[in-house]
Amino acid sequence: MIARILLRIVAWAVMAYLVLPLVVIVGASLTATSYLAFPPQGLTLDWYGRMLADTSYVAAFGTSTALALAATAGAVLLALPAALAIARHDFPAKRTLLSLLMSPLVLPHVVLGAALLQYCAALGLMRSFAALLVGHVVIVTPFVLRSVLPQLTPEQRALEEASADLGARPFETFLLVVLPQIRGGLTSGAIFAFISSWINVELSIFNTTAELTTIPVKLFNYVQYTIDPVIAAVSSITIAVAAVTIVLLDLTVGLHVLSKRR
Amino acid sequence: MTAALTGDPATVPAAAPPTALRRALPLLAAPVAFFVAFFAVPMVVVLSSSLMAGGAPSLANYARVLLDQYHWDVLAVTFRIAALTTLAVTLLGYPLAYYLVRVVSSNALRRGCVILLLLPLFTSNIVRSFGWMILLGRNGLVNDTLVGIGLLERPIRFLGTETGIVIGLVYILLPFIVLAVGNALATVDPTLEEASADLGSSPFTTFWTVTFPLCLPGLIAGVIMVFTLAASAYVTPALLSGGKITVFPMLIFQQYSTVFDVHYGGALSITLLVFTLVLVALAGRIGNGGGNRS
Amino acid sequence: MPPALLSIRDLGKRFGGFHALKGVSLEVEHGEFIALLGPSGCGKTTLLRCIAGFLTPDSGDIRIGGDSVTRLPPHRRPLNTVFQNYALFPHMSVLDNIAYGPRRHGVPRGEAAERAAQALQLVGLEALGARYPRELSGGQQQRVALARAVVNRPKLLLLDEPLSALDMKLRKRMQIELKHLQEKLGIAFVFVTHDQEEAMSMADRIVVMNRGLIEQVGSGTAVYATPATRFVAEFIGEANFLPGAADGDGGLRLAFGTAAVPYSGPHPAPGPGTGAGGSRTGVLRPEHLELLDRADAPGFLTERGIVEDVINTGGQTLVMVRVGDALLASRRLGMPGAGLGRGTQVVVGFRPEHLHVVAGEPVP
Repeated sequence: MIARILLRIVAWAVMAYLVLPLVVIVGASLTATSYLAFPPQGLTLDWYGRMLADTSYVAAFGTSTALALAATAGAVLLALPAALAIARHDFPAKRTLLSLLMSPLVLPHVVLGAALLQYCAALGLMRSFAALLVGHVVIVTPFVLRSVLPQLTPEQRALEEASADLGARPFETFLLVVLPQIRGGLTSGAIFAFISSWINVELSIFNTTAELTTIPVKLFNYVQYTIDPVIAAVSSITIAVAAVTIVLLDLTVGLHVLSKRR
Repeated sequence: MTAALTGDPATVPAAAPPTALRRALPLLAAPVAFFVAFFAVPMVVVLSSSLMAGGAPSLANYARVLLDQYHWDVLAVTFRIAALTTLAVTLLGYPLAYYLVRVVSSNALRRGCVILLLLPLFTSNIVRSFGWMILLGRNGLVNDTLVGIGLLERPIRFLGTETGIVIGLVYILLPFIVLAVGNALATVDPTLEEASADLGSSPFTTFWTVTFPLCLPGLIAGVIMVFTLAASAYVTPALLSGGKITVFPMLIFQQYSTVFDVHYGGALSITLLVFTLVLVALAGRIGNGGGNRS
Repeated sequence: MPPALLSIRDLGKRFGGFHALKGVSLEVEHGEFIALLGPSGCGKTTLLRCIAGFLTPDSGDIRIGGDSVTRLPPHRRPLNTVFQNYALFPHMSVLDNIAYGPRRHGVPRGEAAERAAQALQLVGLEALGARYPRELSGGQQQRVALARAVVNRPKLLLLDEPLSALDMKLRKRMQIELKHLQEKLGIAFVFVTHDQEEAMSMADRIVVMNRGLIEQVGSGTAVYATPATRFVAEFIGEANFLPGAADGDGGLRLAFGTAAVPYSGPHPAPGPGTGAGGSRTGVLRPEHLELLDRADAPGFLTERGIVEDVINTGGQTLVMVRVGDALLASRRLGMPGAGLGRGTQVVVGFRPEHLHVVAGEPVP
């Protein structure tokens, strides 16, 4: 019984610890003071207005969004056929290939960022959108692969065989049977891919410039020198984006984490 | 077909006949080409530049890294922070995961907690570290509270200490371990625990002899992920160190962004990579050994 | 003579070190009901999957109506399959599931729906077209799978243990329905099962398979009364085995209790199957081993024995009798009579013409 109570206390303390910094940021973005204060002193939305007036922030939001969307699309186009091949065919070196495609998950992003900087410099792509994009596709592809692969089950395989048996050509089978069945995994994988790209600093920082920058990199460069409520306002916007994404994820495919369904 | 489900040996996977590769190739061409071009080759470029000095193959860059006590000090700090972070994350994350999966009975509450758990995960490291910069400042909420309730006489310095960095990293990496352990817990068949209780085990014994070993693979996966992410973190230490503490990824960043010495920087990158992978492999081996014993 | 509907020549298939098919040949005629019967791992499912096109055989040829389909992908083969767990598309309604086949063959939407409705009527589920598969019971799902497979009017239908997921009562009913449907549609069925009763009660011909080879092809009566091999005798029904050896005069001597019964009826010649000792085995079905009231009953070969067990199986009684070293089973209709119990001394006997001899030794 005491163990139960202790467990409850620890669990709620940890939950509080998880939420606290986000609450602080949102709170601090509303302060009327010119320095960061929490709890906020006075309430104002001025800092959000300042942010919107600064075109460099708007541009960075634009770059981040375009980059995250393009990287997600790229990851889906690469991960989907790879997942089908891995789930459906027993070719040599399958495990090696899977490790290669999944390794960006554990590889230090700083190392990969540095590698891509050097490599893209050699290709003449240094600090371009293309250089950012290829790096982001590499780091987010594992998310799509990881969520699609478990859905290509033997039961799913039987449906594909039934489809072929009824006269569907392979592409028809893919469109009419495979895609509707893996939609859930694909959606959640794509959302994870999008958000991982959207929040990335360690990889992006190597290939951004003053003009071409993403929102987290811009924040990073700014925070190191100045701290003011504008930063809190920008951060709050990114928190809101995260919150909207999660709710979207929950409403479309459902958050099947920590539940017994999978 | 369903024969695979019934374990009919007729559907035991074929031993990789050449036709399998021929059929898989059209699907594999694009992903493999992309990963080779923009992942494998760049990594090889880093490796090969690290092995070049003055236009000739040489181990001079590695000598420069490994013979300098400073680098060993930085490595020690990096992995100490990573180890402490991993330990704290496990001690805090495991109870939360257990609570959310096994104790919380309301689905709505669990769903709310999962959303709160994912929210930091979906927020940039910058933003999250920034939150701690506000909280851990000399006049931040943490110091105010600790002084206010009389635990401290005067504010202490968190920013610029290893403690501050660990607090920030623990915060950033907690969701990973909660999700890894929680998902493992959710798949443990409750009838196994009932069987254990039925055979006369106390809840405590049941946990240690049935539940914990069954979730161990999930825990190990989470621990490895957290450790590698902590050891390779750049943003959080950079923001919370206040320039007073250096971790290894910062050295790499300096070489590529300001000095642009790809040879020395390459050697630093490969060093971090090798140390991380070796420690991960060791952790995996210890974890597996534990799994076999139980 | 027109070519057989399905003609399989010397089919071989390996999975790594596992030899699933070792040269299988089989012909199936139009409208025939064929059961592929055997224990798990015997190759029956592999054979079915090769016919359907989900597996490519390593050697041999498969022809349908005289044309080789061995290298044809599944969607271009003129046959359909009923899958073991039905493989109904969960994201489509029952009607859409059934209309899927005609749609893929270019039938316009309206006509496909019409055909699907007819097929649904055929299996008696016309009211359930709008439901989704998860809303149906196991038996209903089974019928939908059947309707989906026959809607294209294939000449050949493959069924992979289609009834194995149903409970016993429902299975018996579906066996009868399936047989009637097959006769009504005139489609040839190739039906995989490991249930010998199912095979016996439905199939025109039974193909008994073991270890990647066909042991015997024949009617249910033939495989039961005159099994071609020791495996078939053991696998189909119950049997008493009387070990035998050549008597040197072209006849055999079979061990029955303490006696060595001379036997000169039809029996396989010594060959590779009989082993070095030229051993043969007499197969005697339990219903042919009778409990007699005297040892000199005319026309019978008799021995004395002691009852070890009397088992009432509901309408039939199985009496286990120790005769010499052997424990033999005798079955008769009716309830066990009074005065028959463990330890009772009895006389058992059989008519020699009921004995059937196969090559090889009995498995202990």
